[in-house]
Amino acid sequence: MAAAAGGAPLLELRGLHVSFATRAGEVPAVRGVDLALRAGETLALVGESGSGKTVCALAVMGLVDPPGRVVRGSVWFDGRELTALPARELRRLRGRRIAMVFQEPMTSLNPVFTVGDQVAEVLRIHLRMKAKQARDEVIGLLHRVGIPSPESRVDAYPHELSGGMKQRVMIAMAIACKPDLLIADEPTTALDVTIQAQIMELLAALQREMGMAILLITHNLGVVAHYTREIAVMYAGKLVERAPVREIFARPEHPYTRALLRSLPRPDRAHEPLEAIPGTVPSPLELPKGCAFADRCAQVLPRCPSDPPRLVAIRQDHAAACWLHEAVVAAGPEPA
Amino acid sequence: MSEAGQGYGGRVWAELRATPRANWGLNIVVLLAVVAVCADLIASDRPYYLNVGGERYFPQLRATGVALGLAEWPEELRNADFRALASQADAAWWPPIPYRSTGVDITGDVFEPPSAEHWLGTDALGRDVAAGMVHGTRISLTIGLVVVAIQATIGILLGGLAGYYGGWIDIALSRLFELMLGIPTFFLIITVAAIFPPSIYAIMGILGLTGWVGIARFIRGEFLKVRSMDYVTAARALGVGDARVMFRHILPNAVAPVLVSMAFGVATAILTESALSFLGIGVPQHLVTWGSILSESRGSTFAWWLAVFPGAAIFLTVTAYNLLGDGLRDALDPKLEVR
Amino acid sequence: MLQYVAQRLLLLVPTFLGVTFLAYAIMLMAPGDPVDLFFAGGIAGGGEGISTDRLAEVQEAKEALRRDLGLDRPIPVQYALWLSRLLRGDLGESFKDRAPVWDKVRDRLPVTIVLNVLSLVLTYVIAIPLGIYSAVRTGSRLDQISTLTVFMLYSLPSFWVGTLIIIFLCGGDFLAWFPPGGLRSLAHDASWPLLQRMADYTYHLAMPLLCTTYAAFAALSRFMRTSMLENARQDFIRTARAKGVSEPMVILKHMLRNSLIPVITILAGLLPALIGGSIIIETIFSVPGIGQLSYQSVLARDYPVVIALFAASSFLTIVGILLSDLALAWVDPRIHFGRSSA
Repeated sequence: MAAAAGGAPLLELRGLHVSFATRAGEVPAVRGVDLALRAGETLALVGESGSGKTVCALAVMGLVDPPGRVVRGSVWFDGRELTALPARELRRLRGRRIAMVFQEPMTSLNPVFTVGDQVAEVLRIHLRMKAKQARDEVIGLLHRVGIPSPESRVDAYPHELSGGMKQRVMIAMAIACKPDLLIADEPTTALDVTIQAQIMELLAALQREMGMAILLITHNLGVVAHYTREIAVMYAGKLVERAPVREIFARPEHPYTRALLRSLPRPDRAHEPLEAIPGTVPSPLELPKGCAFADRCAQVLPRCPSDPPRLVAIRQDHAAACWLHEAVVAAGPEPA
Repeated sequence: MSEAGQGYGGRVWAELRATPRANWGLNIVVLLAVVAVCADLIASDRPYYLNVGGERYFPQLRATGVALGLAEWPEELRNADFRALASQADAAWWPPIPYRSTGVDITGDVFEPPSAEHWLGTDALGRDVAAGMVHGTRISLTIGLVVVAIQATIGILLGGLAGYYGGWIDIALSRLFELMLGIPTFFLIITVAAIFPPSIYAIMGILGLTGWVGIARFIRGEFLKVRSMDYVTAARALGVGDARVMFRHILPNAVAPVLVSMAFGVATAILTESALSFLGIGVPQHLVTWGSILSESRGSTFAWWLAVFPGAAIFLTVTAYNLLGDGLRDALDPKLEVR
Repeated sequence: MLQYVAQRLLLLVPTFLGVTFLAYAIMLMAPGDPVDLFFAGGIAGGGEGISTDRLAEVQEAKEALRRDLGLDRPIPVQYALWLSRLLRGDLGESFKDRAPVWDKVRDRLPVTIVLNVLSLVLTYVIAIPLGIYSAVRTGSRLDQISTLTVFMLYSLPSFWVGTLIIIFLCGGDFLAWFPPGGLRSLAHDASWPLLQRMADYTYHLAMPLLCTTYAAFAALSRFMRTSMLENARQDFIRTARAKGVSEPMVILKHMLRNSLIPVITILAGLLPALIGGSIIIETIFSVPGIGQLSYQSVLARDYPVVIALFAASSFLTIVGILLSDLALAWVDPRIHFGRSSA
């Protein structure tokens, strides 16, 4: 369990910059992200594909593959700077205190080992459990995540399970050592709609039970509404808005957030066409000098394409990076 | 569909040229092809041009014409010893290697190490090794390409039949494929080559008839994959012939891997044919191939030039086609990462 | 699983029969007659310079021999006869010297087997660690050099390498580090101490072994490297790291296990390739194994020996394929027995 009390954040991203050194040039995937997550809470990081949200998550775990690396900023967990830790120390944290569930359950499990074997691996490595004890523990975990007949499923191979089942196994693997932080990278995107709800419910239940913090990464604003306390919206590598869930839905301040909300299908507006956001996300190789959303923004101002807005507090707990709130920006100090 | 095909092909070509190793393979393959086609121009005992006593002759051209049945030798040139003529001639332009590959030198220049007259030396019968190698290129490449053509034809045909019709045709053909795989290929080739009268066509035939199974199974697999796809079922439900649908979707995807297989196939065919020549089997005695020159060095181990040069030629050719095959395969792989 | 094995074993029989019948038919349909060849060694060569009644005598002798060897019967009958003798364990007699085929084969078999088995072992022992290294240190100097070297080895004709070795390293005009052939020295005696005898064998077989091994090694290496690299990209590797598995374990447990699967299938192809390659290497280095016997028998049209060796070769090939399929089904849990061939 985390030592941090209600005040200090469990996880902090401070000015995180992650870039990829490719043949075509330096590709910035994350361009200065500040986040804080307290113990036991859920933060949803929302954005479309290519916004850099997954890279953020990988950076926390130290799993960004070369040619990607953290070029500036830092990640802090429970008072320790993860980005400065030697590999061995980091490895001890992974799976034990910070765990991750990935997007593609179909390919995230090793096909040649049984499901039980793979879940037990975490227990063996971090908790030094012996085979018999581990097996019993695994059966318990499988049961906890809602897999029927866990005693027989424990010896099943991944290809014998459905997508939803595989994802439950991934979750079991992640919570096995009762981590303080669970990072869920689009955990339901690859699953059927009916299963999606089940998985989200499972995560919520586990959180209540174990008191772990969850960093939920998704592109689907609709999904997160019930399950998170705070939402951070990302676009082209930067945070554009950050606020508690109710605030975001009631008073979205950034044009991008507003557009996202408008594009959600709603049962009370069933007969209206869905609104798509015109244009496309800029290529990371050709990022504009100013606000990256400028060319798609319905409320663009003359200074937007050339002057990048900073993320500043507009109200208490509600920050946005947009020149529409210039008055506040001019007057206000550092972001919340 | 055609624009997509062109873009795809164009991209593959560009990728191939961009990778240095694959590019080298391609260059060498082209170079060898040029050598093979122009073998007569590079190594021949007939000069390009002869000027004797004011009379101008083009012996090479004439020889080609005679071979095609379009011309005849003039009296004075029939069975002429061009070398003797050339010494009396006003002018004579010779190919760089002024020998025939099968030209036995009766003046006794046998087993000559490399020298100014014979750049790569001579063999047991006084034949010039360099000439032999140049003409051997033609033989090896011809065999390689013909064999691969036979393999591809049989493979695509049988694989297509099995995959398209399915049912008992598929079962029967699949048994045939399995049978072919159970044959110890090299042993069979040696056996057939040794007991039938030596002929280059027999060699090409037997090599072609034993190597088509890989392509056949692949094509069959492609057909099976497509057949199970929904749009084929949909087409059938609509009464549209599924042959067309299947071909349209199989062809673009299948062409590439078959080409890769063919590139490697040429390398293997040339290697096998050289091995056969080396063992003294199959290729007629009067033909000089890389393998046959190499085999001469077995009995006369002092004649290192009979081993080094032809072997190097085989090695170079096989490497080139393997590089080409590798390059093609990498160029076709959508993930552009590690080689 | 047992059902799958039984099924495959059953299929083995018709394949074997088909292959051997094919070989038998080809040989008998070939022009030229083993009996003629047999007689060609003696005065009955071309019949030249021999009086007509002598000629008739020779013809009769040939006919008698043909009947004796059963060559006057139709092909399927001959094949059936051969097969029935095979099932009784009788391999027939050589045409050349009427010696039992089994006698000729018996002494040579161990030589070829030892050579090929050693080759396979060496190949796997070197290629697997090399493949692991390539995946861990992709792009490093050693990786680049080894990849290039392996590629060159892959394209090197074995008969060229063998010939070059004999010319340059085995006496003659250049170095004499190794003997030009044979299995043992002339003075080799059973009374020698074991170590000395082993050393003698090693001295003689080192070069043939090298020639046999490098090609198989090149093929396996390439395959292993590709396999490892492909697996390194997979999502489950990232999952393993996210679980906190140490890097060596990620490679040796998660990556290697998956990479070995296709590598096992290569065994099916390597075995017959080695058998075929033996023919060349043993002939070049005068090693008295099955390969050399094959070559000599083919040239001499010694059909009983050829067909026996062919059958053995074919049997090994088919069994090799079967073994590798079984190994694959055993190792890869995704394969459902009976549906392993797409």
